[in-house]
Amino acid sequence: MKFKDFFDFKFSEIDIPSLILVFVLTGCGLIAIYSATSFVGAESNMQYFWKQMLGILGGLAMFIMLFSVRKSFLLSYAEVLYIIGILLIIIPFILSMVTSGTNRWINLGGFQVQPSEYMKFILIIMLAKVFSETRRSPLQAGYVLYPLGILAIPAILVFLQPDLGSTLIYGAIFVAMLFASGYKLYYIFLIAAPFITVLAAFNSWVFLVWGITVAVIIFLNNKNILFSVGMFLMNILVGVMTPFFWNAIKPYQQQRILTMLNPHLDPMGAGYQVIQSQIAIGSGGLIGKGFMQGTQAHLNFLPEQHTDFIFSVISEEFGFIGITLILFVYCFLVLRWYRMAITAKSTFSAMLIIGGTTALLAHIFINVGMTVGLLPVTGKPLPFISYGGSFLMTSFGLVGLVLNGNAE
Amino acid sequence: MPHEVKNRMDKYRVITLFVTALFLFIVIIIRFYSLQIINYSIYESEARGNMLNRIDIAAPRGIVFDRNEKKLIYNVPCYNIVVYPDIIKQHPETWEKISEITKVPIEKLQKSMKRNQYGSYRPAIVLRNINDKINAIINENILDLPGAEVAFDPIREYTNEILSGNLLGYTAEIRRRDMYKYRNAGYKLGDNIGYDGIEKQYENLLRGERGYRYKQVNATGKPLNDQAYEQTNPIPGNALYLTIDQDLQARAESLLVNYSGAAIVMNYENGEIIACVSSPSYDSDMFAEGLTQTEWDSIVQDKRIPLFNRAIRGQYPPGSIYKMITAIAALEKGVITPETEYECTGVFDMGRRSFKCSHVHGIENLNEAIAHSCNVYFYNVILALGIDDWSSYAKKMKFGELTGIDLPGELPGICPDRTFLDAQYGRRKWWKGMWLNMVIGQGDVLITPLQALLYTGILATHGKVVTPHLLRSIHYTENEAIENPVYPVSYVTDISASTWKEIDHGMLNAVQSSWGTGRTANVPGLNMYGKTGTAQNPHGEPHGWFIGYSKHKDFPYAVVVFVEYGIAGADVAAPVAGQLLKAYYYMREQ
Repeated sequence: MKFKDFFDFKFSEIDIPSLILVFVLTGCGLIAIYSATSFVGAESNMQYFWKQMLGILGGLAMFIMLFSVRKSFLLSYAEVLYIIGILLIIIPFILSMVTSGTNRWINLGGFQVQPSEYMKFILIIMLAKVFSETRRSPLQAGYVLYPLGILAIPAILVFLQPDLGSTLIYGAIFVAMLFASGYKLYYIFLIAAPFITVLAAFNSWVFLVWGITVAVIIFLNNKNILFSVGMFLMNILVGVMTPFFWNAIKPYQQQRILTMLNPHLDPMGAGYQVIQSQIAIGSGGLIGKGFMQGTQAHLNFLPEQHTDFIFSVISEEFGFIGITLILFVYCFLVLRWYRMAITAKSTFSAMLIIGGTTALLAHIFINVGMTVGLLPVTGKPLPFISYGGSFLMTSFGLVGLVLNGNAE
Repeated sequence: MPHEVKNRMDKYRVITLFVTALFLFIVIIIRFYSLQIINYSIYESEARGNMLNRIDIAAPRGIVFDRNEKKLIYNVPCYNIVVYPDIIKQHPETWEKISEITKVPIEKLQKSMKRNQYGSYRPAIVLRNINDKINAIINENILDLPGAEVAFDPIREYTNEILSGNLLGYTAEIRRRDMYKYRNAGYKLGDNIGYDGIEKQYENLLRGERGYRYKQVNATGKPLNDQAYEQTNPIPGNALYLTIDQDLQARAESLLVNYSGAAIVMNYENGEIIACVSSPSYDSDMFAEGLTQTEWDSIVQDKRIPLFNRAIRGQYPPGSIYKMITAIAALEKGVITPETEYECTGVFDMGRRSFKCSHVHGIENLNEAIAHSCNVYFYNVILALGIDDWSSYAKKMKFGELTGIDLPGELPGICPDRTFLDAQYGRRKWWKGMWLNMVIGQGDVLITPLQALLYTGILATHGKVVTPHLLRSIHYTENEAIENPVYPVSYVTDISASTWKEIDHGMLNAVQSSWGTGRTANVPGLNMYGKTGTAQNPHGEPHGWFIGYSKHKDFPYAVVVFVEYGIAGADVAAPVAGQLLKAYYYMREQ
């Protein structure tokens, strides 16, 4: 095989508006990082700025690689990539047992690799292949089993690390692609129902209403009486067991979960970050305090301000107007990419587009939801803007995958 | 190599994803709108609260003047060495340098810091009231003394002309255990508050309003620089002008210096207190500079109880000065006329007991009985009058209730009546012999010197009841307004002119006749009226009283002098009273 069999540098087919807007976002990121890493009284420090520039170059390389890789190659080698990806996630587990280090990273001589990041591409490719080649009808319940297995292995491994954020993103990718593949909505509901049941079980009235809803939906879609009753009973069982599990976990674990839901329970501890982030955002007001003028950022009240909470810095310094502009760019990109799925030449391409776009959307929503206090603190950075070379490469790679799907 | 299959994706499913994404973005935008636009002001102030550390600037207390605009209480600059606990922790060498400059051992400085510390970032005083030389040395070397500085903090200074701690009061740091009482009024630990006297009474007028200096701090609370980011200046307390005349107060103090007792001079037309002395008193300045334990012990353990303000809190039997009440009641009720005569044989027998008089006065009328202060005459009168009318007239003279003077802690005394005796001894367990004691101001009757003075004023004005007061005017610092408080005045109206005439006559003879008991109080030219009192005291020598007033034109002043163990009113009290009014008359002339 020749190099040409693997890659096809079809640069003329790049969607130029997408690339321009991505660079607009990275530009905003550079400005915000410069501001977020300058502290009052400290000497100005450009090292984060230059490292981010380096990260953008790395991201571009990743973009070119995933944009240029031939889809035929991806289809042929999807399973191989998948197995390699799973092994890479397991390796740090084994290493951490020996060295008692972290189990998330593989250290390659000063250069750290986080396998769960690359698993995102692999999962999208693998699922795209499964959904586009399956012979089963999406109207059958069993249609989901194989793809669910594909998701389950990396999702469980990542959850055990523990990396809740990545688990959620894998889940979001899976659900979106499953939905796009035409799987019956009723079955998607049945998969999602137990998770909602767990949450509903904390309030008996909510649980009652939810239980009735489940029963009605199952009754309306009744095909097989045994299957329906079994599904209903499973949900009830999950709901009844939830309080026992809740009481079985240690109080500090309960506390951690509760603080996740309401940061004001622990304002000096776990909730500190979220409260300070909200103060930063709210005090920005309509037009912001101005570049380099954010007191929350520059006086060090904001935690992780150049990585996870970079959006709070922008909110504080550029206000509602600045934030709306950036969100508008993100929204425009996401919607533009979703639209590409309709015009894509093949189902596989469309699936790559759906997977990649959903992964980026999930990152944006999880990060921004965290900074504004809508979602728990999971420590996921913001695509294109947060500091960090590794994640820039993931983000650019996802764009490469999406635009690759869009190209002929 | 497998071939790609044609795109058979359902368009509407993609559109659903599209709409879901749009929905998520709208949710986020709404959340930002809520945080940044709707709740902007909440988060804005929280961000300010984060970045600004507030340091208090104490407000100088108000200055207190006497009636001639002489300063009674004022502030003097005081320089304290303060340290910032968080910074000095990192620079222990500062302690050694301060100790070297001030010659105070390090342990003592550190102990003082611990005592005055209210948080790591608030300055704590380690040495108070340093002299100019040390101040200069520290300021020259301030760069070598990280964590320390000299702070300006005015302290209270009290005039040295008078020594009336009871009247002026003092200020001191709020005791930790009392803090709960003051927190709602905006006080903080470490604040000074007025204790006793004028300082306590007019605390709210004198305290002023504290200012704040804001410094920018980072997340660990460390100030970024020395400059104030923002500053609200304190509002100094209001100036008070008292009715007191410092010179007369000083004279009264010196006249009573060897005695325990009280002397008060009042303008009986308007209630202004010109002098109000309780002897012995204490020096307010001792408190201003912080009292040592020995000093405090010496005040508290002094048997003559200098902290006790006798003028308003001392409750004593009034002795014969109470007799005018009986005379008024008996005349008004028609029990006697001015011509009614009783014979005094020096003793009065009732039941198995004999009640004595000071002399054998022979046959006397009312006028002579007042002037001679004859007991037997009044024994006869009270038996004819009865206790109910007697006590109702005592109450008209405002005994048994507070005069309403603007000083904290005034006590009401006891004005006994039938109800009181029933409660005290049980119904029908008391006998008329007690009346005989009470009518000459003994037994259960207790009054304060201030009540005696108010009573004197009523006698002098034929029924005008003023409110004794010390505050003449308030000069507000904030808007430079001047307020002259108005004090309530009432009248005792149902006493006839002929009765007043008889009382005046008796009190005139008591002072101005050659045979009056109060003749030592006479000041020729001042037209003095008065009455002595001698109250038997089971603990030793009797207490001496003198009440009196001048009817000289444009000199409407009443005086009361009370001397514990003063033997008789005529011996110490009356001459002091006379000298006081005489002194004030000449002070006013100048």
